[in-house]
Amino acid sequence: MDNKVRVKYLHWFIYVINLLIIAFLSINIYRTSYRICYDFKARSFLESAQYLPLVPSTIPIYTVFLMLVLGISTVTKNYINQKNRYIVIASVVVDIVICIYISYYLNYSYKGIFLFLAATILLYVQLIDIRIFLLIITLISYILLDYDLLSVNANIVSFQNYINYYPEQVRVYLYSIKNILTSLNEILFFFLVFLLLQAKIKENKIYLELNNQLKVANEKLENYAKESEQIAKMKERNRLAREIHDILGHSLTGIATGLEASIELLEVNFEVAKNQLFKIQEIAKKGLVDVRRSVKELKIDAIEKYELIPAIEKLIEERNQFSNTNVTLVIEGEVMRMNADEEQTIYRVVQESVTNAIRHGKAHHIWVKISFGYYQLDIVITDDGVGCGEISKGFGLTHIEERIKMLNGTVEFNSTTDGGFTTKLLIPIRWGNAYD
Amino acid sequence: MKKKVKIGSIIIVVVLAVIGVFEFYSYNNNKVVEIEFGVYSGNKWKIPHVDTYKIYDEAIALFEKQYPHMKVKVTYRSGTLMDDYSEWLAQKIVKGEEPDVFIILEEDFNTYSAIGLFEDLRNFIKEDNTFNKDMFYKKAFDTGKYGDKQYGLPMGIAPTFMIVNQTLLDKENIEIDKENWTWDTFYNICRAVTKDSDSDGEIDQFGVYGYEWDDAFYTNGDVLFSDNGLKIAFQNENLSETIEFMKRMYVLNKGTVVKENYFDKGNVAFKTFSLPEYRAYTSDTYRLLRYKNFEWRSIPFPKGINGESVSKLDTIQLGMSSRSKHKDVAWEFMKFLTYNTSIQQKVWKDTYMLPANTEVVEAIYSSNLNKEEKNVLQPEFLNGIIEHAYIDPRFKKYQELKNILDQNIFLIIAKDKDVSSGIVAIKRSLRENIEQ
Repeated sequence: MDNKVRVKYLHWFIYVINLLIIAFLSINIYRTSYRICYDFKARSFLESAQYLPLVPSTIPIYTVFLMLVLGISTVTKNYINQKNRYIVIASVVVDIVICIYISYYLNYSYKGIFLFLAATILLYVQLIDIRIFLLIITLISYILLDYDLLSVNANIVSFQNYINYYPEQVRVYLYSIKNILTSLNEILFFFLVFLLLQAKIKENKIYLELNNQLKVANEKLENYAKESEQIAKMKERNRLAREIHDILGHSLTGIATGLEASIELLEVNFEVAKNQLFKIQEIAKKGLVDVRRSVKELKIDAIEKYELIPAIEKLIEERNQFSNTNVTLVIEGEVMRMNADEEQTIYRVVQESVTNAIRHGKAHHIWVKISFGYYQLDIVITDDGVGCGEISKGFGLTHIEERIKMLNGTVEFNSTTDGGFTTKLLIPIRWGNAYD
Repeated sequence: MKKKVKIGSIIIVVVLAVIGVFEFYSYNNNKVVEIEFGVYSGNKWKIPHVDTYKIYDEAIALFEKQYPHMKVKVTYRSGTLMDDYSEWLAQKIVKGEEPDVFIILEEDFNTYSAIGLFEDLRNFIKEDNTFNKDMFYKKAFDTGKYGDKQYGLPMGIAPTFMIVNQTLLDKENIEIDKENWTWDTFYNICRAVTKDSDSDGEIDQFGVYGYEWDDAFYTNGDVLFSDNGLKIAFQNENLSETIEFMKRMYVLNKGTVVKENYFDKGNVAFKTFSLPEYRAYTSDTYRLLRYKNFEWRSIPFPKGINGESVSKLDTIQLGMSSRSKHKDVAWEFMKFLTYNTSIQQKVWKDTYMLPANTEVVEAIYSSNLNKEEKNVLQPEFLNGIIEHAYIDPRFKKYQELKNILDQNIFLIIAKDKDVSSGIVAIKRSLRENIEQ
């Protein structure tokens, strides 16, 4: 059985014991009063009683009625427990008043009912401050509402006065019933407290264990944080390297191929060569602007919003102008705005692929196809260059892979010895941020 | 759970319905205010009485008529003899069913005051403009006091005094010196009349019947205890003079115990007497029952060495239960019996006692009285007696302490023990009892 259920059963058992004791006491007060009158001993009883006795016929009715109300209040507490703590507290306050009244009707001769009350508070009042406060009130009632203490100031007849009316044998018998029941009540109460304590100790143990686990996890987390800081640094360095490679590599490749062509042209046609050199100068200037922009970006760590498609169109137009290579751009689907990091990655990948096709593949024609799907972005870059049987990934291709991986995308390179090189990119679209 | 909530609410509804029915019932009952009056038949002096209840029946009829708009009903249980009254009332109290207003027996007053049975009347007296406590004989009014509380109101009073067998004194040629009416004078007359008149070897003519040590003690100018009963108040000297005097008186009879019928036969010179006895045996109805063979008249108690002529004042006190449900009506009824002139006149006519209301007594003085009544109802004689009367101390242990005194003093007198060492012993046991 669950510990909590066990404690509640015990609580009800204490209630039943109290009901028995209170019924026993009140019925005896009632019975003895009439017995005294029957024996014509009322006058001498009053002499020894010292105080005006309560009306005996009301005592069993009131006390048992109050006990029933206490029972109903306990049943109610079971149902409202989780829902409203303040109703529980209010009903405990009502319980305290009921217990004081019961104690009064029994001439303060029985105070075990306050143990039941203490058990109720321990079981049902969750707010720790209020629980302690209510327990203190109960404790004070337990101490003060005692016949021996109160008889000095209050006018009451003790239960003992009634018991003393009987001859020795009956007295012993009545006292032993009262004492056995009272002791049983006390023992049950202590047992209940013991069970509660045990549950609390168990709970504490689990709590401590969890606490330890949490500590370990926390330490791990700290280590992770340090590591990821290192990783971030590394990544930043790599990015820097990529930027430098992309921008300078692209411009310098353009300049190198342009110069190569110009050197050959110088001997054939000086004017055309001169013209070509002007174009190369333009590329060099453009590269400088790119370098400056890139440095600026790194400095402020914020990305200027590219319009991706116009940027790519511009890139392709430049290629078509100053080299013999012809680049075609095809766009499918509805063009969508993407996050800055995505757009920049795509731009860089396209830029790198085109540069590679010109530099390594000596391609005459390059096709760039960008398809916007609902969930993903497809990019295919194909050229008619020399191709290669085995792809050896240099700095550039590795960086493309890395960049795409960061966007959770995939990249695929294909080439044959017959010529041609294909780069296929699949980038998932992050809908969550799509409308940022 | 739903089922239990249902059951719970049904219980609550049933409880409320029961309370409602009770309230409705008691509300309907409230339309008739019924108070109970506790009375006994017979009297302290065992004088025959034709109809004890006549005065109460008439008073109740008049009282009920005073409430034309409200139905007020006063009930009483007839047939309780005075000897059974104390136990009867005690049983009612133990059961919580005591009458609203009742006659307080003198021996019950202290006990019931101590247990808090009586309603304190001071508030009623203060708030009732139609009530003036100065109308009462102060001594009689004070008899209803317990500490500073007013628990009783006097309905009738009975001053005590002595009567003297004039025929016997005349036969012995003795004249009472009224100017010098002291213990010594009293003793000398007693000594002179105590003799064996028919010379059969046994004393057959005596001095006094019913004169006890406390009758003598109070005429010696002292009191036994402090008002709260916590201290012994008397001077050793005063008590020792009293005991010495009683010893001398005791020795006169040489061990013969004087019985009441000796006075009836005309063989005792003095007898302690009360006004009701006097009136009964001087009335036309009972004149022939007793004391018919000699002339007799009233005389105050003789003065002690240090004191005045003082005698005990008996009163009939009415009290109200502190648990009465109709205290206002109960108060009106008490006031009606003790204060209303027509009822107070009935006290004089129907109970042999003197009314507690002084105005009524004044009217009686100036009305037509028979010869014997005139003999004792001289204002200066009665007023003197009432004014100098003592009342028994009002504290719970008084009866116990009085018993200790009675027993010890009787032993000192009867066994002729040393008085001063006897008083030391008495004081010790009194003190032990007080401190218990």
